[in-house]
Amino acid sequence: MINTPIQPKIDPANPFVGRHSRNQTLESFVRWVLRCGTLVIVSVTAAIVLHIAVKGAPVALSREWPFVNVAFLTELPSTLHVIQDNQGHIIETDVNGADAIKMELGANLREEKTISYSGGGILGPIVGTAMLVIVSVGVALFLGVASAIYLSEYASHGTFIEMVRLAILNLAGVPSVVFGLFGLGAFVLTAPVFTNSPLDRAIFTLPLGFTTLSFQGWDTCVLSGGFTLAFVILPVIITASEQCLQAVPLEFRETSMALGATRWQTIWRAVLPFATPGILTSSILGIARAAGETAPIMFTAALAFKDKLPWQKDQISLPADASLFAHWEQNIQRFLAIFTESVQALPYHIYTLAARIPQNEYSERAQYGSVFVFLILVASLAATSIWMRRSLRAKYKW
Amino acid sequence: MSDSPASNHDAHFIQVAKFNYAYGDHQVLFDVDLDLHREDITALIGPSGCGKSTLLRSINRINDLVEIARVLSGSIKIDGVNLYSSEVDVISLRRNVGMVFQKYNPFPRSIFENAVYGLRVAGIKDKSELEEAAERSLRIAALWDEVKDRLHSNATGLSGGQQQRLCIARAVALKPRILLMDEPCAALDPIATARIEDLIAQLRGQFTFVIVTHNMEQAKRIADKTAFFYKGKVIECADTMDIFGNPKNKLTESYITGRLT
Repeated sequence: MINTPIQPKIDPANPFVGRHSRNQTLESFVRWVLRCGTLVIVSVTAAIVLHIAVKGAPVALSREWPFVNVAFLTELPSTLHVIQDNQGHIIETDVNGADAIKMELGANLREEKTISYSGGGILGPIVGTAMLVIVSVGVALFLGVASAIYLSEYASHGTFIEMVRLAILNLAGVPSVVFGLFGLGAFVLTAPVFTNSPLDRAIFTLPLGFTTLSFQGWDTCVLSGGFTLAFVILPVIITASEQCLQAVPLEFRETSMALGATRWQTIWRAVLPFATPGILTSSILGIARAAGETAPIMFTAALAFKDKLPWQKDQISLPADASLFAHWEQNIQRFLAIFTESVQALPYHIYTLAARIPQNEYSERAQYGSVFVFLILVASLAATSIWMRRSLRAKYKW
Repeated sequence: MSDSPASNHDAHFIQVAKFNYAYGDHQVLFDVDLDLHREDITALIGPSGCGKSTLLRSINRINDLVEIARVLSGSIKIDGVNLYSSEVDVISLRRNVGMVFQKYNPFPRSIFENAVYGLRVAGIKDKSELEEAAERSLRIAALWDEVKDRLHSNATGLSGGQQQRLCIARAVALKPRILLMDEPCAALDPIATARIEDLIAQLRGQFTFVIVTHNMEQAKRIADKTAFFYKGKVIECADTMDIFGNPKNKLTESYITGRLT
């Protein structure tokens, strides 16, 4: 028994020849299962992207210089009028051009169709999404990095901090529509504003003498939507920032403190600079998330249709002898007013086109055009994040 | 501390008395008594986990960063001032007590920025003052001639030995009186180690050195005094010649002859 060879028959010409063992069969089986799983994901992703590119690229791009459909990117959405004459010619126009064409055709008019939101371009949604992203990432970065620094650098380990971490992780699992309702209740209806004439719906007013602090909410506007989105992406930013801070070697902190730095000086000079690449990368992924969310902005910021950009607003012209200060004040107010306007947003616009109006070839065209532009925007954000991580990592490697 | 009157108490410059120290419930130093002399080079030797690094890190209170670390009883005094009394400002303590760590760890910034880090956090903004300090400390660390043409290139591009000398420059830029070194050559090759030892020998008299080392030859070569630690206690502390030539304690003898398990 002791000297029984494992392989009884040895070919003298090639001692290593042999049958595949069961383990080797299992090995190749497992490899193929894993390979197929990956392949499914890749092919689904490719199918989605190709589908959108094939259907959307002709809308958003053009064959001639400048190779993009300028009108689609620079006009506001409008109602599309499609006029057909008796010879079968189809003319697409907007509401202003429709009457003239109908007059010209006279009795030759066969039919006129109007398709909501599908004419013009998507500048309104692009601008709205950009503003929502700016506000939300600004708020989320400040709050998120601040709390990540506190959790990672200041807080002592203990049950309380573990509970806080757990709560933050749970926040990431909250459905986004719940955030939308939270934003509606917290920012749209109850957030504090300074006003001289509080609304009746304010739940609480605090007279300050020169003005009143009224908890009457910010209304449906960029600010409400941005803050709501900030809370959607906060868990991502906190968790990622904390990981980036933890990745900075402990020795940097010790060395810095040993050289007489305070804790904040240490964080500012010896920790944050080296954690920044990662924090920025994660925040850009946060941008992509914030840009893509629909539910949180449905109740807080977005409109299905708006024929003005946030800064296109009637202005009361100042009297000719108004002081420089009055002009300044008006400019500041005009700037702030941009953020208290409701806007259109790309994901909500796509939802409107795809689900809230009757479907036809024209609405589908606008829909795929929007989706294509949206995809390009998000992809370029992701590309920026990868590029930034690479270039910053190269600068601050240890 | 710098204006302390007790400058003639050379024998009691750093005075560790009945020092007990613990991480949580785990006590690591037991009744440590040590008298370190001004301008001496003192080596702390002993097997891993004997508490010599903990004592070193207690002298500039960098161990305060370890959340569970605490002093049970006893004191460490520099020039008669108890470091753990409430009136001691830990920031100014650390400016007076420089530290060099085991693993060379310059910040991934320029050589210049590394050299002046301590001055920058001390609030010095004047450019010429910073440049003077950088040159002075890099000269002290015998690094100036090697890096003077590339002060603004990244410190991580230097060799290991150069990086460790940069860490020494960084520590001496604040003109500390004491330099603590936690196995400064553990991560270096023999040539770089020799350069660091030469440097320490050259700086003898300018600073009071406390050096933790696992390398007994190194202790023999550079230290005036040597303290042997074992299981959190000081077993023997005497002139280096006596420790290695004529150890009084059996444990010391078996450690320095490599027979202590």
